[in-house]
Amino acid sequence: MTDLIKLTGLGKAFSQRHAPAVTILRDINLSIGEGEILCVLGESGCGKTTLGKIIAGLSSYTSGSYTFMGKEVSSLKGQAWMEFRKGVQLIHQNPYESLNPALMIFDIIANPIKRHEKISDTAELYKRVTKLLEMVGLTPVEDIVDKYPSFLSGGQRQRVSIARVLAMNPKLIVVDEATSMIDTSLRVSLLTTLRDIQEKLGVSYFFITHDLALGKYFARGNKVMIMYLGRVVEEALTDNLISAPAHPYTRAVISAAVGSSNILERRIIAKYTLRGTDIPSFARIPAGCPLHPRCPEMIPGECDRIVPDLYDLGNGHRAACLLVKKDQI
Amino acid sequence: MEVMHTNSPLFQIEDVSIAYKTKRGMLKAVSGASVTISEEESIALIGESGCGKTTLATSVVGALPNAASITQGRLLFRKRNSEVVDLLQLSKKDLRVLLWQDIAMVFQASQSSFNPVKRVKTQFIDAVQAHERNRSNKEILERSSKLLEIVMLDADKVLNAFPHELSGGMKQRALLALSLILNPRLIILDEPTTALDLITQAKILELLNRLKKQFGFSLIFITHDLGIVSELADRVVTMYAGRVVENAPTKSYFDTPRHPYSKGLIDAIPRLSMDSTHIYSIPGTPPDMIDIKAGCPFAPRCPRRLSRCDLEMPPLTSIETEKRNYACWNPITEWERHD
Amino acid sequence: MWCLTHALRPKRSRPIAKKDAAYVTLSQSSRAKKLLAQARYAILHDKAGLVGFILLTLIILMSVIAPVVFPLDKVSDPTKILQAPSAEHFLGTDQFGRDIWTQIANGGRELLLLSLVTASIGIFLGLALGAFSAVIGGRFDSVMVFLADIWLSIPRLPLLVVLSGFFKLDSLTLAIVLGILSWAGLYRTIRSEVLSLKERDFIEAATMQGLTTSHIVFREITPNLVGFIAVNFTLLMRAAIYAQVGLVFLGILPLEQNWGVMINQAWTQGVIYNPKSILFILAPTLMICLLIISLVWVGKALEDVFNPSLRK
Repeated sequence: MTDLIKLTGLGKAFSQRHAPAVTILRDINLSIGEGEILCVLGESGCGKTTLGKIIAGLSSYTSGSYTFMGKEVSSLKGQAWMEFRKGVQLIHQNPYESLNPALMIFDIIANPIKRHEKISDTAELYKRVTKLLEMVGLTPVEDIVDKYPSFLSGGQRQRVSIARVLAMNPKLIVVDEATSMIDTSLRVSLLTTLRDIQEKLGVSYFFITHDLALGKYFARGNKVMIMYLGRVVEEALTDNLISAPAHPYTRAVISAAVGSSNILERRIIAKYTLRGTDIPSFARIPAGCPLHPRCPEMIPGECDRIVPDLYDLGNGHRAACLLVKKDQI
Repeated sequence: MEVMHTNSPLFQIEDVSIAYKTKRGMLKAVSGASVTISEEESIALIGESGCGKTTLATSVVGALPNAASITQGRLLFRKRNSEVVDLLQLSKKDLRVLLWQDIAMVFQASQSSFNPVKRVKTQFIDAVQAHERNRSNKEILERSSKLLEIVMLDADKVLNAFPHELSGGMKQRALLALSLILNPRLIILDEPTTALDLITQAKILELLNRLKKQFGFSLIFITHDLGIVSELADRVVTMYAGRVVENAPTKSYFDTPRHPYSKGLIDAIPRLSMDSTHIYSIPGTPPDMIDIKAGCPFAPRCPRRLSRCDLEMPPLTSIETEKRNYACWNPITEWERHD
Repeated sequence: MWCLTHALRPKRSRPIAKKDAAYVTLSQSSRAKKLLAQARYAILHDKAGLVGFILLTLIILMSVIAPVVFPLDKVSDPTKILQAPSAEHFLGTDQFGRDIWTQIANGGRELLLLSLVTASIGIFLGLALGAFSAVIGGRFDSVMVFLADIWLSIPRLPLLVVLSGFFKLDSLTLAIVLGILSWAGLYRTIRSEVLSLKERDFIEAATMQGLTTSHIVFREITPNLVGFIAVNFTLLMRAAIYAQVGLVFLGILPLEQNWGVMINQAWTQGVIYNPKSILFILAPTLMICLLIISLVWVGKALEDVFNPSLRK
């Protein structure tokens, strides 16, 4: 399957005025094909939002390669750049900030159509906007079109955000925690809409979340990637990752997610906790494996010196852990 | 004032209604809510945005905005000397004394709870001295250090830092330590783990459970996340459109929810350890709280709706043996539970 | 002038067929109507705004009809100098025996028009420079900020006094000059507003949609500034009126017919010492105050309605 996007060794460093540069992302390798979903999970501040913005072209990358349909993104210009711009879109996390409060919903969705398809006839625009709103489940359309965002609920606003993105006919949509600010009983409905859209239009998703259960639900049948301190530490098919997590960090996350009460979740994994409590800052990333100060299975002398690569466990399952490498031998 | 036995409840929210003045009219944020909390009990107050849970909790500590008024009800709190007082009848001065010493509240978005221009240790000292004026700084800092260590923070580092130097998780734990400093009997937490990642969240829940046992306080925590409810709560109180619609012990709540809304909330959660094929969202949206219609507020969205539901608000029905109650004309019965 | 009055006058609503409703509501004319309906709502629901609006309308109305209904006394009548109010001249007469009331009625028109000119020029300059400066950034922005800071430290009234020594300043020229001189203040406030607006998610979304910079400035950012602009517009008008009155009082401006001139003349005639003709100075002063207050109140009411975050 041809890759839609491919990141190889991608890194992002932020320069600071009176301090050395801070590296947020290191050595990211991933690819997403057409109609595929890649879910990225990590705690807030692990760099996943930065990665999402880079993929959507809203931020630049400082090392490595990022190709969109085979072409290097940082060298795109003119028409090719606009193709990329249209081809990769992003849905923001905060529905209360992502829509211009001074514009009507109609305008919010029609503006990109006007710009890219050069349509100015209101009747024609109205037809297109109606179709898009219907696709995201905002009906009856007449009740929505001439309203301002402050009249809509969080869930409705997110749907408008999706409709706006679809107006560009994207190939890949970066979903940046789009459900975390919506009521729990409405989240699944939004995700179902996104999957329906995938079925109808064949778009791919880069789904960012910190909620593992949600990621498992949305990316079922697809791939999940776990990030820690700006690196990918494990990636696998969704079911494999949950049933046979290889990296200590993944195990700790799953253990934390299922809890210990046995009421909502069954204990599918033995209790696994990391030592210490706090995540190091990006300015002082530990040497060797970034998790080693907190890892209960840390091998002194090795884990604090060697930066593990992603070692293969077969079936597309890879983990960046020296223990995995040892098992391979 | 009545003197009651110690096996009587610690805190009773009795038939409280709260309304806000808005441009369009009176918004009835809470209608006739009643909740009882015993000693060493932890209660989860759940519901979605606009259900009134935060309004109810803030009314306890008297922190409601000016536009809000408590139109009826009592907040009965049993003081250390077994005297029961109605918090709403207390003078501002008496209420302030009671607060923090007996009742502490940790607000949501802990990022803004600390004064950004003062060091953490100053804020601990200020908090204690506002209530116990004769304690020396040394005493206070000693106690603060102990508490900070209990919440797994580096006491020295945290006390001498400014709030912005601490991460979200650290601030949350520091606030917990601060709320414990005067040994309150009731702590109210508003969304204690929002914006925290799963691992930190798990640690804080574990911590809270331990602290509960160690210090023996009662806990009301507000959340929309059923995951932490199952880990922390002894009992679950569900609110919808300003009313309490179900109140049950945690296990019973999840195993056999009676109110369709509770079932809807539970069914909407994707599970990690199980196959999530039965997930569905509750259709529709919460009702307008200004223009309140007759009948059960959940009826328009309810899959078990009867004609009676549109006409009359169901009263709270109790099941004494199970220590639970619910407000529904057509509750889910024992043998309808899905697997 | 007439358009302004007509636009602010409350409109009768016309019923629209439901099936055409949504589509119709998106056409240009109905958007304009919607905006006016919002403005009308804001004014009617804010007590101060309503009072201000009524006052302003009355003043405008008076200025419009005065030339016809209350024409100025052209000839002076030495027998009627500085008379107290009477049935014929119910505000009395001035030092040339001319009726004061007609002077009041005609005295607002110029002030209104000229302050409108000043405010329009000032707002336009401040908005254009401030918004683009914030969006473009870089050296252009740094240079502009520096210039604005210097500009703001120049005292305006003395500058005008000096200028009037070199050029003959008539009212219209003064209005234009005042407008140009006031660019710096508005530049800074608009620039800081736009700087913070620029960081918001919906602007990032607009960038992501490949919308052009001029679209972002005029069609995404500017609509969020409308309330801000409305309030600053009325404030600029206020400053312009004070400037004009002040300059006339100082004798810098040539004497044309407006309230400021009346105050000047009344003062020089020593009217404050004469209880019978004290209205000569009080009446124009009161009119100026009423005009300013009505502008401030209307501006405040409009700010609330155009502020998107308060929209509900």
